[in-house]
Order: sequence, then structure tokens, then C-alpha cells
Amino acid sequence: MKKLAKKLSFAAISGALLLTAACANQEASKEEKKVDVASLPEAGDFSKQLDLNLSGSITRGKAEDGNYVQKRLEEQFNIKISNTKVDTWNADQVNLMVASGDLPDTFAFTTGGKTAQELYDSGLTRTISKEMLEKYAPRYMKMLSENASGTKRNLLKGTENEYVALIGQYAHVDGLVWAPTFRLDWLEKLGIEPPGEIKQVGPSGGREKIYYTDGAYTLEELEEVLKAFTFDDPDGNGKDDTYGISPWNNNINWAHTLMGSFGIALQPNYNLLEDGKLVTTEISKNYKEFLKLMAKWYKMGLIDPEFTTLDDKKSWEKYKQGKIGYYVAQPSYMAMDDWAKGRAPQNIVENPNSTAKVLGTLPEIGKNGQQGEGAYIPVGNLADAFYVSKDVTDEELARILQVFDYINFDNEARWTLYGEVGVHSDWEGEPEKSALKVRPEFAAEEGNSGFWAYNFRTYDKERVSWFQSEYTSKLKNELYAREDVKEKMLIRPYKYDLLNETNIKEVEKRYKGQLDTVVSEFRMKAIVGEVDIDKEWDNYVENWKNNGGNEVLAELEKAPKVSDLMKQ
Amino acid sequence: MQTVVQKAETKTKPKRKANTKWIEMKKMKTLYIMLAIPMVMLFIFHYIPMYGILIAFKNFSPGLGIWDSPWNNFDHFKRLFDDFLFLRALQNTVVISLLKLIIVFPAPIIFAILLNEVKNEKFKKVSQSISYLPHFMSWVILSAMVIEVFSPQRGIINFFITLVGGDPINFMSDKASFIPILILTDMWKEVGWGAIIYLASIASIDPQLYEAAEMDGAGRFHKMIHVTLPSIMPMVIILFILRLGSVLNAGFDQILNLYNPLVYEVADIIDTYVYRSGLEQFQFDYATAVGLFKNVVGIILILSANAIIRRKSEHGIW
Repeated sequence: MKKLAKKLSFAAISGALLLTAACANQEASKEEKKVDVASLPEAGDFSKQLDLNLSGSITRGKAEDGNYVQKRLEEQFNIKISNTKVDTWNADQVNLMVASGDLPDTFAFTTGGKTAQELYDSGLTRTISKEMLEKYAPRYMKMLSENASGTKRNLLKGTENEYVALIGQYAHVDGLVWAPTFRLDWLEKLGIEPPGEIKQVGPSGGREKIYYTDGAYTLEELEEVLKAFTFDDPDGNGKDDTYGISPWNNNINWAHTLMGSFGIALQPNYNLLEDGKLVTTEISKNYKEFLKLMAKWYKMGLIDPEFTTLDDKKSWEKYKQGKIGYYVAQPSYMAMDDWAKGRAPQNIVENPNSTAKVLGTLPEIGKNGQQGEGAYIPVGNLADAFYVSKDVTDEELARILQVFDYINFDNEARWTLYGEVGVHSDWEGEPEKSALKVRPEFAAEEGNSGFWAYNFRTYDKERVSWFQSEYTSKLKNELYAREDVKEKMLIRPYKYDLLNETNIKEVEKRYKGQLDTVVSEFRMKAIVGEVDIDKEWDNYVENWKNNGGNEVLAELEKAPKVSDLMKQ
Repeated sequence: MQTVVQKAETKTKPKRKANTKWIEMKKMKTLYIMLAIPMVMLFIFHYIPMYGILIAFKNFSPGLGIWDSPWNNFDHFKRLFDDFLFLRALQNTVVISLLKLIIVFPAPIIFAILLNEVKNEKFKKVSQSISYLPHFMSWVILSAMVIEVFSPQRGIINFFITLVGGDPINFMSDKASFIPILILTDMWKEVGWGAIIYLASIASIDPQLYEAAEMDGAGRFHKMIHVTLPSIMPMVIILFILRLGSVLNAGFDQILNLYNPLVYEVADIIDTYVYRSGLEQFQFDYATAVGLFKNVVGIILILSANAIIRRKSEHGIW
């Protein structure tokens, strides 16, 4: 019996190994066959029906089969669309989908996934030739040619006409993404003058309580304001229960403008020249000075000590309780755009009975006149990636590119995002000058309407105006994306690997977990005074370098200078 | 002649034995079919996926698949032991796990024995039900409650501290208090649920043993010590050995939802560290290497504990 059991176990394990080995994918061919574009159908020739499995940037896997957009696209392009049921906003789902190798014909991820080169090297995606793009996606190629180095982005290493991914236009992140805001009613109660002339964001709906100004406080003035917010009972309840500033613990967005006043930006791989040496922000002397100021404010009691246990969402709730005076916000938050509902600081005025008022200013000014924040995109206006699966044939790709070009770059295709105006959606205010709102009987995204289900995250200025309220547009045009503001206040890295000429992405992925741990741990300890910044700084820098920082710096050294890239 | 017959009988014996077994199996075929279903499931879901362990030794590339991805000369394992943050996480894991083993593991046993002594049935049932409740809530919800309870501004504990003139303490960001909070909240969540198995074990104790002890003059405390406890000891030992096997699992959900960078030094365990540096960065191969390492340590601990216990007593898993 024992022998039988042994034999059975052996057979079972061998069977399992054979079965799974058989299921394993064969090595992907890395040799790209040259596409014979002439043999493919002409652009606009949709005589043959094709089956395509499409997924876009916004897809959360909720598009219902037979939805409105799907039906119209199927009819227009003679295709049969299969919907993807994966949530591309969920990193775990995305990573599992990529690891399984079972990918839709087209896809883009909001989070997770791999880099374009990695996906191609892993044999999961195919290349897209320039010739095909010129023939089947002329609007996209026009957009590329209008952007600096556009046609060189996402090229397969060693080639000049094969792309590993398509890229998007990011007009929606133009200008300053974050701005400081203050409780204006507190400033007024405490008799503190707001900087510059203040204007209302909008006439009603809570926007009448939100103001903006093109003035800014200096760091010294800001410290005085925060002191008054903390110690002078600005809410008038007779208790010492308010704080100047409440950061949060899961990212560093709260400090973008504060760091800007030290001339630095803490975004991935942001770097600068310091005493002739290339350093990243987190090991720079200016970052050390920033930490020392935060530690000083914490010791003075200006920073809410509970921030160490609050993430950004809990921090919004905390702000809503009316105990915090300073908070950073995006222009859309100040304009109370629908998607930003519940976020601070607009959540303090959402209640019609609220007497709170908020003032947005330009970033605070540092000792040497530095002012601003890291540019969301270090160079140019292009970002993101749209992929085509390795299993897609040339004939299918030709059709996919035509669909892609139409829905993403022809503004006649607005119906793919909002349906027909007057039937599926309405203008929020003045037609063509305000945002579009989908009627409640239709799903705003995916669902029965299929809006946004197949689109890529790419927006020119006109498309931005469809989803950005007129108030956000006003704030951006008049202040946060004004040309002089952008020119003066957007901080760019010294070097940047725009054209994938280095291995920085691979190195970053390999060491990001370690480096983030070292940086966030030191930052928190420094701010709450658990470590003496001056004494521990050298150890911290050494630690950072030994945990992958040296490798990051070595790759950054190989990258071109941003100033050179900007000239192209 | 007799010898020939005997020889023939000896030859046919195994065959007859096999036939008898086959007949017995046929008789109980329904039971065997019932057994086959979980066996097949076990095989499909627990043995076939083991093939994936291979990626711990490879640079996994989804397009190439598991088999064709290149071997990497134990790079992931070398990386583990070169990384001081991993070694710190390993140390934290062992410390937290051992503390839980020493403090949390006996709690359900004590709770079950005490509950068994309660004579009022209604009170007993209500206490049992209340003690189960936290088990059914995820750490995402419980962590919010815990953070509120220990909040320096709104928490009830700090309320009393300030009431007696003390300064509020940020317990959740304090290295000294974070681990005790982990242990206490884990105990609170699982003590009731963990006691069920011991209560069932206590219920199966022969009442004659208690009667005999009573006749010998034993009081309730002595009966508890000399009858109840020894009777449930086999169950305690089995669960102890199994718990040892997961000593490198120190409570991922709990810690991920409660910790922050200020307490990484004491609370960053293997799972949370690998989640940040492995899974979030799409390094499934590295994460698998860590998982394999944890399992190997776990199986060594189970086998050793079982061997030691078997040597000292008749209990154990095998």
C-alpha cells in the first residue's frame, strides 16, 4: 500500500509539472517582422468584420455588453467588441493580469503594470510602426509632431520607427497642480491681511465662499499666520484646539509648495546640481533645510501631531472638522468640481450653512525668492502609455489605430465620452464654455452608456474644457496656469530620461521599495523630532545611497539635461 | 503433497488480500467518490500551483512564462540577505510573532476554561457571542476604530490622561506602545473565535472524570487544573505546533492598516516590507522567493516542534 501511495504521489506531481509546463507560454519572439503596410486595407476600408477586445485608460471593468458607445463603434468600424472586466485602477488586479499574460488587444493602466519597454521585452506587447501610424492615425501623428521630441517618445530601443506604446497629451495638468489655501474667515477674525487682491471663485453653490489671489506669503509671514491659527483661537470656541497645518502620512503632496520655497520638488527622480554634483531631492541640502523648518514648526506646535496616523483621505475628514487653517489644494478642489467633492478644503464650505471661507494663494516665497513646485510632467506635455497586445495582427492593428485616432483625437467623437448633448448630457453652464454633465439615467462612465470605456487618457485643451468646470478653467487661466506663473514657478529636474536612454525605470522599480522606506522613515522621524537632523543627516544619505541610491544616481548621470531637452 | 498445497496457498494469499480490498472499496464506493472530490480540489488548487515556486529562482517574465523565464542564480535570495531592511523586517516578524505566541495563544484557552465554569447559560451564550464579533470584522474597519480609540485628540484613553492632568500620547506613532497595541488588539479580535475549538474539546470530556475528582474532594479550581486542562492538552499541542509553522506570519492585515513610517523600526514585518518593495513594484519573483523562505522556515519549525513534543509526550501531529 505504501508503495502504491508513493507511486500515486509521484505520478500526481509529475502530471502536475507536465500539465503546467505544457500550459506555460512559449518564448516570445523578439524579432519584429516588418509590416507590409501596402498589403493592408486602405484607411476607411472596413469591409471585413473584426473581433477586438478593447480596454481604455479609465476602464474599471464595468462596461456592460451592448452599451451605447460599443454599439456605435461596432457599426462605424465594422468590429465586434469584447469588453474587459478588469479594473485598471486597481494595482493588484492590473499586476495579476499582466503576470498571467492574458491581456486585452488594447490596454492602458491607471496604476500598476510595467514600463512600456518591460512589457515589450516580456513579449506581452507588439510594436506599432510609424508607417502604420501615418496611414491609420494621422491626427495622433500630427499631435506628436506638434510636441517637443514627440515622435521620439516610446521608440523601441535601437529603432527609429517602431513604437512600444502610444502616448497621451496631458493638457489637464498644465500649470501649478497644487496651491496653498488658508481659512479666510480665520485670517479676517485675526486681522491678518490676505496677500494681494482677492476674488471670488464663483457666484454660488459654495464657490462664493472660496476666493483666490495672485499674491503669496513669504515663509516668515506664513509662520506668523500659522502661529496665529494655532494659538489665537481663530474659531473662537475658547479652546486651544486648532492647528496651523495638518500634513498626512501616505504621500508628500501636502509639501509641494513648501518644498518649492526651497527650490526643490520631491517627485520620482527629481534631481539638481549641488556644488557641482548631481543629487536627487531627498539627499539635497535644500531638502535638509526644509525638514529642519518642518521640525521647528512641529516643535512649536503648529503642525497637528496626529498627522503621523492620518492618510490623505482621513486628513480631508479632519480638515472638515474645522480645526486646520492651512491646506494645499488643486484648482479643481477650489472650483468645487464634482470629482473633487468631499476633498479638503472645499468640504468645509459644502454645507450651505457653513460660515467658513477659503482663500487660495500662489505658493509661498522662500528666503532667496524661490517659489513654485515640481512640474507634473518634467519635460513637455506628453505622458501615459497605451499598449497593443502581442497577439494583435497587422490587420487588426490597422483597425485599432483608426478607432484610437478617432475616439481620442477627433473632437467629433465627444459622444464616446458624453453621448449626444441634449440626449445623454447637458452643459453645466454656458454651452461650449462649461463642463458637460451626463444625465442621471446614463452611467457617467462605462455601464450602460460605455462612456470613457475605450478611450485613452489624452486631452487637448478643448477636451479638458468638457470635464473641467468653467470655474477651474477660470482659476487656471487667470492664475495657476498663467504663462508667467508657469515660467517662473514650475521646478524642473536637472536631468531627465525623456527618451528611455537609460535603465532608470528598471533601477527605480528594483530599489523603490527600499528607497521609499528609508526616505519616509527619516522624514517622519525628522519632523517629529525623533532624530537630530544635523547629526543623522550623513548617516541617512549613506543609507539612501547603499539601498539603491547609488544605482539611481548612476543612471541619472547618463540622462540628458532638461535644459537641452526643452530646446528641442 | 501437503507442502505443495501450502505453497499454493501462500502464493494466492496476496492476490486474495488485494481482491478483498478491492471488494471493500467497491462496497464503499460512495465514500471514496466523496473523498475524491476534495482530493482532486486539493491537487488542483494546492499542488499544481506549486509549480509556480520556480519563479523564486528566475527572473520572471510574463510573456515567456514560468518555464522559459531565465534562471537567476539565486539572485532573489542573495538580495534578501543583503538588504538590511529585510533583515530588520525578519527580526520584527519573529519578535511580534513570538510575543503573540506567548501572550495571545494562551488567551483563548484561558477564556474557554473560564467560560466553561460559568453556570448561567444565558450569560455564557451572550459572552460567547460578544467575544466572536470582532473576528467577523476586517482589519480595515477595526484599524479605524483602534486609531480613534488611541487618538491623541479624540481618543478615550487620552481623554482620561488629560483629565488627570497628563499630556496626550500619540500611541500609534510611539515605538514603545505600538507593539503592545498590536498584541492587545489581536487578542481582542481573536480570543472569542479561538476559544470555540477548546470549548468543543471541553464539551467532549467524560463527565465521569469530574465526578471521580469530586469524590476525591477536588474543588472547581482543582478540577479545572487536573481534569479540564489535561483533557484538552492534545488539542492545545496540535494548535501550538501548527501556530509555530506560521511564526513568520505576524499579521499582515493588522499591521498594514495600523502602522506608519514612525514605527517601521519595530513594526515593519516581512509581509509589509515585501508588499511595498515586491508586489507593488511588480516583482512577483522576489515576493515568491520571500514566500518560499517563510514556508521553509515554517515547515522546519513544525517538524522540529513535533519531534521534540513526540519525544517528551505521546501527543503531536504525526
